[in-house]
Amino acid sequence: MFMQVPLLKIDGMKLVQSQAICRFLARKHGLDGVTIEDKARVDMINEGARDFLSKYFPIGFAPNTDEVKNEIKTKHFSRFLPIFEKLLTDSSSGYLVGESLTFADLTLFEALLNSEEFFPGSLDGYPKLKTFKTMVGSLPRIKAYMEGPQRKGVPTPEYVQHCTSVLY
Amino acid sequence: MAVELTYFEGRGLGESVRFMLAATGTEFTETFLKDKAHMTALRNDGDLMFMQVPLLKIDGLKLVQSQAICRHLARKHGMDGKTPEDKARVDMINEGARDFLSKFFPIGFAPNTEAIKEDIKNKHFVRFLPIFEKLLAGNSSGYLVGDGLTYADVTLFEALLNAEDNIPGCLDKSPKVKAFKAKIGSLPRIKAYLEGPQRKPAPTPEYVKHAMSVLS
Repeated sequence: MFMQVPLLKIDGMKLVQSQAICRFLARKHGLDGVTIEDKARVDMINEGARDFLSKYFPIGFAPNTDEVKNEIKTKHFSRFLPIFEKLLTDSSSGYLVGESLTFADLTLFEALLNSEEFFPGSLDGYPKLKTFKTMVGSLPRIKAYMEGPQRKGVPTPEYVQHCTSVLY
Repeated sequence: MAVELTYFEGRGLGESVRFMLAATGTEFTETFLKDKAHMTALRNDGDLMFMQVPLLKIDGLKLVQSQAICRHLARKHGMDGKTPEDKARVDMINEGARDFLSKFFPIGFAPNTEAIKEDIKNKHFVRFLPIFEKLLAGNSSGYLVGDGLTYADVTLFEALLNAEDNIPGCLDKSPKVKAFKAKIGSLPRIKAYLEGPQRKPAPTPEYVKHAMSVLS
């Protein structure tokens, strides 16, 4: 619809806009929060987690990758990690909202995978985040995905070059 | 219970929230950011989950993230699409409309306003207007999805107001989009908001200076 990918063909629809796709899947499977208040909280927290996750997207693509990484380390970690640490501390279930997995947890989990991958040990001062990352990572479906053939690798120079040639 | 919006006394990201409050018939009061100290106090109070505004206090919640706020209002008032498929379409189209709307945000704030307007005229109009023209041509109701107003319509409407304000006549070659803009603008609640005291003006240099000093 907007001349961009990802495109997901599902249930007779052709969906674009990754966040709209994720929210559709969440709604379909009850991963979007139970009450109307929970839905608002999940949505809000997901937006913040998404902001954090998006800081990693330029790595490998932007010319100044080292600067990008440095900004994450010196600015974005201190901005975002304490917020999520606090949210998890206030939650008895170990999930960000309510008693079970929501799409906000998945976004944060993806961001934390990036954190540890590019900055090993970056979560050391954040015990709740560390526990959260382990917990979500050991959920059967998530674990199976991470260990399976569809999980994709970090961008290599060849991959970046290919993407660039496709898009421009 | 009173509904209260905290933001700058201007459009920015807050205006999308104001439009949704208007569209859903939700009366609201406003707290405007006075200065840097005010912003700091808000951040220290713990009301701003991600240390940013807009903040909407509603239904016992303290909501931030303008898009999450808009979707909450939409869900609450049945403006988010009827079926699961409609909800997905509304969400997807809103994301695209939001992309388009966001092209106008730097106007007044970025140093090269003329270059931004040129980009909008030569690149973004060409990219986005035909898509929305096609979507509207494909739906007999005149709305983007289904038979009634959804939050995707509100986002597109806000973008089109910006488009006409900055580049008059830009919709002349997109008849369905033009008709859509007139249609949404004449809905009673939207019309009342546009003509009322809470509708904010386009950013002036003084407003921009103030906003930068609050956020510095």
